[in-house]
Amino acid sequence: VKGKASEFEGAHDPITLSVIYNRLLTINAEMGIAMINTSISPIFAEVHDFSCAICDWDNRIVAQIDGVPSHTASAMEAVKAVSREFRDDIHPGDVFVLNDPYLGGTHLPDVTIMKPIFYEGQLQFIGINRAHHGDVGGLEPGSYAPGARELFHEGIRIPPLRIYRGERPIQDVVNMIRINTRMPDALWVDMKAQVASCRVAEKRILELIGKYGVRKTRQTIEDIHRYAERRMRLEIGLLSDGVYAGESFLDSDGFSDAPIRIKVAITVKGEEAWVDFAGSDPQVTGFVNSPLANTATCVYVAFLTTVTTPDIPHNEGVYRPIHISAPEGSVVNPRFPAPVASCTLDTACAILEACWQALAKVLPERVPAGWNRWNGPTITGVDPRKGSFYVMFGFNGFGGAGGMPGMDGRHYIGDGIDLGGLIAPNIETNESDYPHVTEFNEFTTDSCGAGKFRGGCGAKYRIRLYDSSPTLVMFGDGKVHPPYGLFGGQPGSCNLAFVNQGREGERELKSKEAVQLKAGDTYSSYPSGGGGWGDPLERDPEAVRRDARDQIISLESALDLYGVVLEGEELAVNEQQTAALRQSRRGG
Amino acid sequence: MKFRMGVDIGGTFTDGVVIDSAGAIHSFKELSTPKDPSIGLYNVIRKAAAHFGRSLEAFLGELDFFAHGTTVATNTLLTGTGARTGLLLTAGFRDTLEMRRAHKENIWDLYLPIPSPLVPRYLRRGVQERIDCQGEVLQPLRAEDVVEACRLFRKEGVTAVAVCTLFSYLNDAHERAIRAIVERELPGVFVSISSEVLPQIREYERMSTTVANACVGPKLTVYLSALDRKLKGDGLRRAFYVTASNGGVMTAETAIRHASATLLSGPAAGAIGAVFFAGLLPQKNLILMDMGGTSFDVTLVSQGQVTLSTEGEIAGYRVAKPMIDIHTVGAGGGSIAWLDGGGMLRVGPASAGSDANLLLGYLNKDYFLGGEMKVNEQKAREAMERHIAAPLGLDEVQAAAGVFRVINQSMADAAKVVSVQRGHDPREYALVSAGGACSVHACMIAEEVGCRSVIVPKAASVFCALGMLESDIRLDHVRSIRTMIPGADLAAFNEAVRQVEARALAELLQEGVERERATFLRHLDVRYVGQHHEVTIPIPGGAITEAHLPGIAESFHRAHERLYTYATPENPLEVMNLRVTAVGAVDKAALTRRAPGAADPGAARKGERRAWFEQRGGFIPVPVYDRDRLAPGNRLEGPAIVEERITTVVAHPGWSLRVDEYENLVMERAE
Repeated sequence: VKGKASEFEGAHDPITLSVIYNRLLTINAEMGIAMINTSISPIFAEVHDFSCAICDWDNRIVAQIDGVPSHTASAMEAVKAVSREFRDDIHPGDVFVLNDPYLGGTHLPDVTIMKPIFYEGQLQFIGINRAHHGDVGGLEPGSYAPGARELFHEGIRIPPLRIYRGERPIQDVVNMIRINTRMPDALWVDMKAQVASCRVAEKRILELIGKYGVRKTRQTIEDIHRYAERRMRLEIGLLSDGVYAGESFLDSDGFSDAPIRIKVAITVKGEEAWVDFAGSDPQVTGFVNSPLANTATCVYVAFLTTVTTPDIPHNEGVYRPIHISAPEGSVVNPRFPAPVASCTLDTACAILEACWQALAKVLPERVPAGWNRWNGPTITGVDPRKGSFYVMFGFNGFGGAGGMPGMDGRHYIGDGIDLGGLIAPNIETNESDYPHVTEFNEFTTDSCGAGKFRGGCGAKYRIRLYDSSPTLVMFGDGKVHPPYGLFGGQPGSCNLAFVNQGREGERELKSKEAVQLKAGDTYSSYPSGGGGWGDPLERDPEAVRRDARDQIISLESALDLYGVVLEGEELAVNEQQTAALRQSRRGG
Repeated sequence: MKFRMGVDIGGTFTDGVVIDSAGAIHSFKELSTPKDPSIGLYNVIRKAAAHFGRSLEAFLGELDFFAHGTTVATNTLLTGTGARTGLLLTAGFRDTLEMRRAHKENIWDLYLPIPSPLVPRYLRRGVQERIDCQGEVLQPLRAEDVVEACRLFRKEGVTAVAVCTLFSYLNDAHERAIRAIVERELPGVFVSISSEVLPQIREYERMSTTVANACVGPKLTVYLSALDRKLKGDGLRRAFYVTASNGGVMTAETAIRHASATLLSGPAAGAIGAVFFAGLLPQKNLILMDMGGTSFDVTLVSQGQVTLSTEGEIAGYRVAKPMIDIHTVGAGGGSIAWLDGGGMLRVGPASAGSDANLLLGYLNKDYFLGGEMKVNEQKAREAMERHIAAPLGLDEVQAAAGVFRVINQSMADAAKVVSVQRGHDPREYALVSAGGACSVHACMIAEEVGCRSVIVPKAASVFCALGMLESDIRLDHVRSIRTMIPGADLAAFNEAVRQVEARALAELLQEGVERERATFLRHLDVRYVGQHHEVTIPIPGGAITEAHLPGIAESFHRAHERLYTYATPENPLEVMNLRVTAVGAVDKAALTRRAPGAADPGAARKGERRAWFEQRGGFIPVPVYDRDRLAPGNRLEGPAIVEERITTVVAHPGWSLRVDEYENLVMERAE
């Protein structure tokens, strides 16, 4: 049983600590609500592909609950970059922006907005909003370019820049950014929504400091960091000392079909962990290279989902006992200007899988089997109803989660690194927003990896496009490497996608490629189900019966994979035959 | 004499409050009868009638207002005992309900459980049909699919059917046709179609609400219609009202059609009660705790107001109906305690009597329900011994103390969700302890949460019932009206408003409201063009003219600025929905006030008994007071026990207690 430090022990004033910390989380959540409710791109308003954070005066994250996990921790790199660049030249009313992955960003579409928050003339906090915009230029509309060989091909690079002065936009900077994207209006309106969400943080934080005073607030922030660090140390301390290795492979970089190895060794010693990626493949030509900040984020996600309980604060303190290293020039720590656009999805999933598999060796009772990797595309074109350019990401047709000790994986939850943080848009809003008709979106029978606790199903999803010349860009992975099974569980299905499946012009899509389509073409997607956990022959026959009744698995799978004999229209479990069959399977 | 009566049916007790024409409050309590809650309800009415020296018929005839909060719908969802429900939907979209939009409420918790879908996959059947995003039919309905699904439903014993097809909020023809077929094929089955339950865009939320409606509908229908018939037959002349999640009341008839609007019936009334109290008390910030036998509800009243949201979750199921923001957890005073597989003490929702409180001496075994109900101390002892003490190697008192602590902790956690976790400083809030079992725990919960005072209202255990007497009739209507400001088609808009309000008025009149007591609250859901989410703003009554538009726009900009810190008045606005709430005002209770007298509570002292206090190292003798004899101005120090007929208040060590001028007990922690 995992230990849990008693809440906020050793704090100067436990109630104030609890109130201020929770207040910051609430403010953080409120930032997210402001973004959802005021942005115009469905990618934010419906899907929530952004995250908000609050950093303190020392560029340390103090609160981050809202948003996608791949933005975790890396927000600190952004505020550090601004601080390095501008030093004392940071003033009330300023807003900063950046997106360059080698200068504090993640990948170019993620535009980070930062608003320093001053109280009585002194910098106290920084509100941060990092959001994935539909297009920031580059080779392909939607800014995922499988053909990119360097960062310059992927869109506009924004170093740390001041974009507001005295609360007003600096038009020169805004114009420079706008002219470099295919959706200048949406980009700018949504950047203003990002600024608004930081202003919500500012307003609420000023109220907070007004109430508690600067000294007490800052003291409490230090306590929060220490508390989080103590919690992480306690949790790591419970792990047996040792070196635990994990490995995973990306299918390809889009240029060659050679699999790309990610190798990790996690050394646990006392209350700290050293995570080393030595032995991972060198950086590659295509867009799957993962800058170190992204790689580190994936490590933190692996720890925060398994080593700790979910109630641990996500702040700088929690990262202190984890030390990360990766060889320079490798796929997990590339040199500029390697292209990186897919790293926050494809590579991130693979890094997470490698870390989870390493941790499974020391924490078998907590670590899940593999989740789905990203499959779906970007589809771009001109909406004939409005005459305007659109970018639609494949946020429907999601994959499944891996099985876990004691629990099946969830159906239709999305890729591993997003952990269910992306919200699938309703079909009704999606068809109103983008020119297409959805033909189906439901679970794929047998896509789930078999196990004592099976994986969740992926979807089958088909749309028909009706604009004249849509472009489709695939930037997924996991077409060759399925979600792993654990402890006797089987892997989930592989990702699969087609153009015009079952009709003239049918074509199976590669995991990474750009394709030109015409009106009436269809896109079909079969994202993977999650891997299974534990021996399928140990699965409760009643659960197998329910899955068969619900067509989550086929009758053949019930028999062949689970050794369960179901009879008659009612699919009753024949217990005797089931026991005998399972016995013979085990014996054989 | 005229009476007004509210009855709340909880998991363990059924509470009734009667206010007579002089403004005096009378409360009555009976055991709930979960199999048929109306038996307990009737027992309470009989008891009240007897109290006033009247026959049941005479008393019912003298009732000016009768409202009833029911947990039938809530409990049905919470306990998973809803109707066996089938779901018909657009073919190809079988799993919309179970996909839950791929959303995970806490992404960091891999093990976050989700409730199983209210309709299992094999009872979710696609039918060939399709309407597009303009409301045009892309594919006509294939009636055979419906017939075939009905065959399966019949075979599987389905008693409720939900229908939700894509874009039915734009064009309900297919849903209506499906309903007609289902009603023909499966006569007597309860059918809900999404275009009636919630004619709004977003199929997941619409479907989830419609399914909840269908799932609880049959039980609610059987219950309410039988009760309605019986009450009328026994002499009730006025309409019989049911509390709704939005804090208003509606007639039983309306409640049957809008089952999903009653999912928070009981607790919503309590919240209204708390708002009413906040109006009387100097303290305007309250955390209302209502601990029934099976559930524990917490509501935050900030500056005298509760928060109303347009959707929420009940038992983990999405329900997009206006409701008061109430946090519910499934553990109450009568909850069963057990050891889980890992050897941890847990407290859960199954009602099993207040064994621990009895063994610790907090409850009086001879005076439970004013002595009308005997409690079997021996049984309580045995249960505690068998389930907790023996497996843990403790004696039964240690075990009971453990159960008491675990309950306190989990209740405090729930109170923190609505206060600390939303950034409210609990030190600025008073705990209002309502619901029978709560006041035994309240001081300990307050200490854990950080509240400095606890208020036990005069009618604590019947708080919800009292709240009902404060509820107006409120019927919510929503209609999609898409128009722009500037450039609104005002003729069409006013016509739509006229239609909705005419319908709303007709419904109100049907509810027995007199015309002059009917008012309408109009709101518009508005957004900047391009946005995906709306801000709901009030608009004036009467015909809307060009002259009104700048004011409406201005109030939107202001609301947007207040919520999101900025407004862009240069951008055009898009109106999405019209919301009309028809309100039928009911007479409110006027509580009597008594001037404070002497501080000495000696006159109310009825004895002494031994009770267990951790701070004092075990059992110590504590004075017991009779609440009915405590008078405004009285003060006493904890530890002390105050008993009234239907509830027990424990002032723990370190707490003082005084009686205010409304006869509320106010407990304060010594600094």
